[in-house]
Amino acid sequence: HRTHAPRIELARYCKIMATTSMMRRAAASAAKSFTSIRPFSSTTDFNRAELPTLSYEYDALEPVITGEIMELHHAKHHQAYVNNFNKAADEHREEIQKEDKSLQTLAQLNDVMLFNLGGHINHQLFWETFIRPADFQPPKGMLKASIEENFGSVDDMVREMIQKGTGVQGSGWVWLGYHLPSDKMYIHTTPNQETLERSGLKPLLGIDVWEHAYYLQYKNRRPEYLKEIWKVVDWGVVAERHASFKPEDVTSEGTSEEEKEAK
Amino acid sequence: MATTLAQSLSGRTVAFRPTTSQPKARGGRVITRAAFTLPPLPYEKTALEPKISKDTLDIHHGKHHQTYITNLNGQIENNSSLQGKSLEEVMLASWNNGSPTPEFNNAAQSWNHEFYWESMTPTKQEVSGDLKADIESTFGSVDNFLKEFSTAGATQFGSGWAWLVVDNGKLAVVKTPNAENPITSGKKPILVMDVWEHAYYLDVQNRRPEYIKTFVSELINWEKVAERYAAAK
Repeated sequence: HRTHAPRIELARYCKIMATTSMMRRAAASAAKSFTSIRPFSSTTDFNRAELPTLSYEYDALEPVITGEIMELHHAKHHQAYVNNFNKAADEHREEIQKEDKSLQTLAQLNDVMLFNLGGHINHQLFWETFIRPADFQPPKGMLKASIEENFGSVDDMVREMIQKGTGVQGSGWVWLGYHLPSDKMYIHTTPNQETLERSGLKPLLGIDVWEHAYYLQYKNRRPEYLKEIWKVVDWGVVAERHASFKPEDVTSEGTSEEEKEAK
Repeated sequence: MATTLAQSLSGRTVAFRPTTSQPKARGGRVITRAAFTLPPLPYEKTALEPKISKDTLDIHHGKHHQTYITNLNGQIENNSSLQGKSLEEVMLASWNNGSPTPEFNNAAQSWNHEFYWESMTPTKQEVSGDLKADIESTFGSVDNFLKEFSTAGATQFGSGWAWLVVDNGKLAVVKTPNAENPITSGKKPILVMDVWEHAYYLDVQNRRPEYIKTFVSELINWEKVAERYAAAK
């Protein structure tokens, strides 16, 4: 049977009451990406970031990604982003309530919060798009058609992802992103833990190219990791995201204009 | 122009074009104005165990550092404005006042890694003399300096480096992201610690603070740092 990560309601995790407009915008923007949107109701309460549980075992993606890497990546790296965000958010709330609050401290804490929140968001998206190699299905339907429209073929898109992912200098992510205003797809890289939202694209599929994502298994051979990872991409989840982002008048049966003409 | 194949120091064959410019001394070693070659480690690959494993040095030096050099040479071949320059000159030229050209990443990383290998020693050393006195007067104590240096390494988001530099005659701790190097802002580095994940992941995985602690308490080549300090003052 098909095993895949649950649809994590990112809005639930991103329901973080930000005391700075930057945090609020980042979280709201990410929250809007997904189906359930909760309004921010308070300026002083933080909802804490929480490490999501994976619905698959750590070794489920072998031999493409080892259980050792998955466990470290989830239980250590992602956990650290969660812990560090919560800690910085606590400190921020404390500082901002002081009469003699230090703007420098607040600015530093903002940086820490932004970085770790980005790490939290990016990794939640990451876990959702994995599938066991045995359950792999290639992209189909509207998603496949859109990929072909934008890149020529799925292979061409994959090639560009590999090339751009390899080209990231230092740490970062390579994304297949969706540009809502133009209804186009783009491949875009982000540095460190910047979220794709900041680039004006909706995340369809992100691949972590921080060294911790592959080093124990692939060592310096990032291109090989990028070539292999496609065997465990859950295109079903990518298709769900794509469908949720697309403008509402577009259905999988055709455009509303075509339907009007047919009438 | 005739080319001949020559054995590089690492034993790999490297094509080079003989030039007529004078080789410059750097740290006592003569480097040619030809294609860059991977400098050998100042110690055996097993020499830093168990602090840094042979496996790490094999890959960090033999793959990562080598790749930066190989790729840099490829880029320079196609860019005559960078030919005939020392590694530091290439790095500064390609920094291009903050809008780095594609060569910068490879040039700076080649420079940074060489500086890093030389910043470490297999046998634990203590800081002494003028350097110790100046560290104490700048940071309060050697411990304070090590703490500040460690924090710089631990708080560098993503990839990067932590440095001890001489800045306008004063000692200072700085951190840089990715390939960046404080020479481009006029500072004189005397010590560096690599905090890219590849520097420690095989040995301590995500536990960067553990790597940093080992580096500052057991690996620093204080003799080398003092030598650089004397030259930088």
